[in-house]
Amino acid sequence: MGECGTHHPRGRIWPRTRPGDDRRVDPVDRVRKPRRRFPEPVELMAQSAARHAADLAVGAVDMNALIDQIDLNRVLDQIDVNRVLDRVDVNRVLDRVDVNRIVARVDVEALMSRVDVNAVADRIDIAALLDKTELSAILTRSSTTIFSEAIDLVRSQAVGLDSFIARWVNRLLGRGTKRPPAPIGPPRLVSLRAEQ
Amino acid sequence: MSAGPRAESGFWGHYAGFVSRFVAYAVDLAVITVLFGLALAAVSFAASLISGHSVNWSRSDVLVAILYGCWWLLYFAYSWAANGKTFGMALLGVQVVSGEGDAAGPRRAIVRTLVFPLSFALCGLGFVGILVGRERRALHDVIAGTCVVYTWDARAARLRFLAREDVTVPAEAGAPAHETAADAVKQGQ
Repeated sequence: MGECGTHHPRGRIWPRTRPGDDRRVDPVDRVRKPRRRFPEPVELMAQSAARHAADLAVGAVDMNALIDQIDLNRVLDQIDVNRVLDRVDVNRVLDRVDVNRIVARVDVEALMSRVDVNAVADRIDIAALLDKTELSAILTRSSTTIFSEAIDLVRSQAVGLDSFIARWVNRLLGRGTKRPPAPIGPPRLVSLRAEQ
Repeated sequence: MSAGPRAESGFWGHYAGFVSRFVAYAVDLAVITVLFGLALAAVSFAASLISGHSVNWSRSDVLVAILYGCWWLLYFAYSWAANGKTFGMALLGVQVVSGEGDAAGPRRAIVRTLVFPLSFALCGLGFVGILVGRERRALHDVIAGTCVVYTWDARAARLRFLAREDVTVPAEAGAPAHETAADAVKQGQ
C-alpha cells in the first residue's frame, strides 16, 4: 500500500493523515455511514443476490392463487371513493374523451328497444310541462292569427268583387272617358289620406 | 271620422261596394235572427215556468213580427249611432260616415235606420245607387246624408300576410333586404 493509506483489517483502505494535515477524522463517521464499511464489490454481489432472490420468489408465487385469496370487497370497503374522486380532475378527463366515438359505438336501436316509453311518459308531469311551455299563449296567438287571416280573406274577396263590379259599371257608363271619373271617397277622408 | 280607422294607402276611406255591404248586411241579419230566436226561447222557457204550460210562437204571429222589427231597428240604430258599424260591417271592414267623411252621429243613424226599409220597399231599387251612383250611396244613404266607406286596407293586409310568411320563409339569398314584405311594412310603403 502507499504511504498515504493504511490497510484496514477488513480490507478497506482509509486515508491516512499526513503530517501537517489539519483535517480531522471523525471516529463516529464510520458508524454513521455503514455503506462505507463494505467494499463496493460486496455490495454489488448483495444487490445481485437480492434481485435473484426476488425473481425467484416472484416466479414461485402463483399470482392468480394470490389474487383469489384477496377479498376485493374488503379492499374496496377500505377505499374512500369520494377522496379518490376529489383528486380526479374531471374536466381534464372529459377533455381527453372523444364523445363522438363513444356515441358512434352506442347501438341506439338496442338502447331504445330497452326503454319503456310508457313508463317514461307516466313519469312526466304534463300539467307542469304545459305551464312551462305556455301552450295556452301559443294557442291563443295561433288562433288569433288564423282568425285574422280568415277575416282578411273574406274582406279581400269582397273588395275584389266590389272593384270588379265598379270597373265594369264605370266602363259601361263611360266614366273616365266620356264622363269625369267618380270620386273615390268622402272629401275629408280623401284629403286626410292625401296628406299622409 | 270618430272611429279613427288607420289612415293608410289602399282602399281605406274609399266608398264601399255592393258586395261588401250586402255580405255585411247578410251577417247582421243572421246575427239579429239568431239573437232574437234565443231571446224568444228564453222568454218562452220563463213563461212556461211561470204559467205552467208551454208557450209556442209562430212566424205569422203579429206580436213576434213587431218585436222582431223593433229589435231590427234597435240593433242597426244603436250600432250606427255608437260607432258607425254593425257586427257584420266590422267583420267586412266597412263603416257608415257622413257625406263629408265625419262620424255619422245618432241623428243620421236613426234616420238611416228608419228609411232603410224604404230601399227594400221599392223592390230593391233603392240599392241601385250603390251599383251605379258616383258615391255608391243607396236611397237611405241619400236621405240620411250618409255613405259607407272601407275601414280596412287591403294592401296593408296583404303586406301583413306576406310579413307573416317571411317569418317562416326567409328571403332568397341575394335579394335586397328592403324587397321583403316585412321591410315594406316597417317602412310604410
